[in-house]
Amino acid sequence: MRAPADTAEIRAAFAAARRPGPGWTASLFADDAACEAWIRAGSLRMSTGDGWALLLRRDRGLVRVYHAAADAGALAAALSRIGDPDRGATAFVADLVGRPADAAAARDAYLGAGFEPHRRLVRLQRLAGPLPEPRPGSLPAEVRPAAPGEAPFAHAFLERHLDPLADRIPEPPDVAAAAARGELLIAGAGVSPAGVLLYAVQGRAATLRYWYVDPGRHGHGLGGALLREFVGRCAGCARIVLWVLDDNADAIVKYSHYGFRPEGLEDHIVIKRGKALT
Amino acid sequence: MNEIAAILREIRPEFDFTTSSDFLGDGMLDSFDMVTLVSALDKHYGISIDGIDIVPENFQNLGSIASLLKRYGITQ
Repeated sequence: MRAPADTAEIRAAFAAARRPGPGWTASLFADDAACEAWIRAGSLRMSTGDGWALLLRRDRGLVRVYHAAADAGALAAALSRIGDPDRGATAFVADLVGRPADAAAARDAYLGAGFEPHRRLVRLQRLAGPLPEPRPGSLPAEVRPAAPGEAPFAHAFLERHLDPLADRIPEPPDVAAAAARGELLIAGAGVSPAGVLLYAVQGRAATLRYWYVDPGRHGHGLGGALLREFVGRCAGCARIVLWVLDDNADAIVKYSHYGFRPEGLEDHIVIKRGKALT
Repeated sequence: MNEIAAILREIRPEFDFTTSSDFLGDGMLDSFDMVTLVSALDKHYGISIDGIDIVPENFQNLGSIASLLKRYGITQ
């Protein structure tokens, strides 16, 4: 394993793993800006072989695994190189994203290498169209864009409530940047928010990245108010996408109410815990 | 370029790709769609796009994709 010098080295290694024919699989979807930030943070290690490339990224207490492989055999060879997580890390985690057949094939290779299934997410999308009316009797909720100074409180809120394995908790600068762009909505007081919604607009599309209401504040319409404010602010977008845990029936019903439908992508999250924890 | 537009419409029917010169910047395609697009182009034209060519610049608009395909012997 070595630390990649720059993004070009990562891209070249992942490109070199591709061979003619079916079976090619890859799980690195980060843009150059993200890779550069990881390189600056010194959080990357890379390894390559015949028809495969692996990138490991230290993310707080986890090691995230990214691969490119010519086929299932090459992927198995790559994964056999993964030993135990670094000292201080609790587990390896991989997000295997793709159409169901492709994501399942990569998942099976990881399971064969000692990983276990953790959660599965599905991507939903909403195309442009009118919003449903608020439910009768809904009370108005204070939902507004967060001021830049409120970003740390929103980050602390997400860190407190999200699953670090399934939800990939954002870094503080990421939350601060969203607040600066006006893409961080909060419900309630900024210092102690009752709910947070963080999103990203890219041209004519938007991604709902995080949407969460304090469980103790459920039943007051805050979640719906956040979602309505978000969809209203993205009125110029032809498409909005989000990921949701496939077993989160409540959230799926809520999203469906606002016009979100499955659009075909899945994310299989698999983990391999350190020996110290088994 | 009509064939390319048709392949793109299969992946993202909600967008009119003839109106954009920057599919990724305009949010019409994301990195997951790019992987799907590469597979669709491989299958449709019977080619295998080299890994080194799977970069955003080659899928930026209809012209970029046509230029890429030309390098693989496919003319529109």
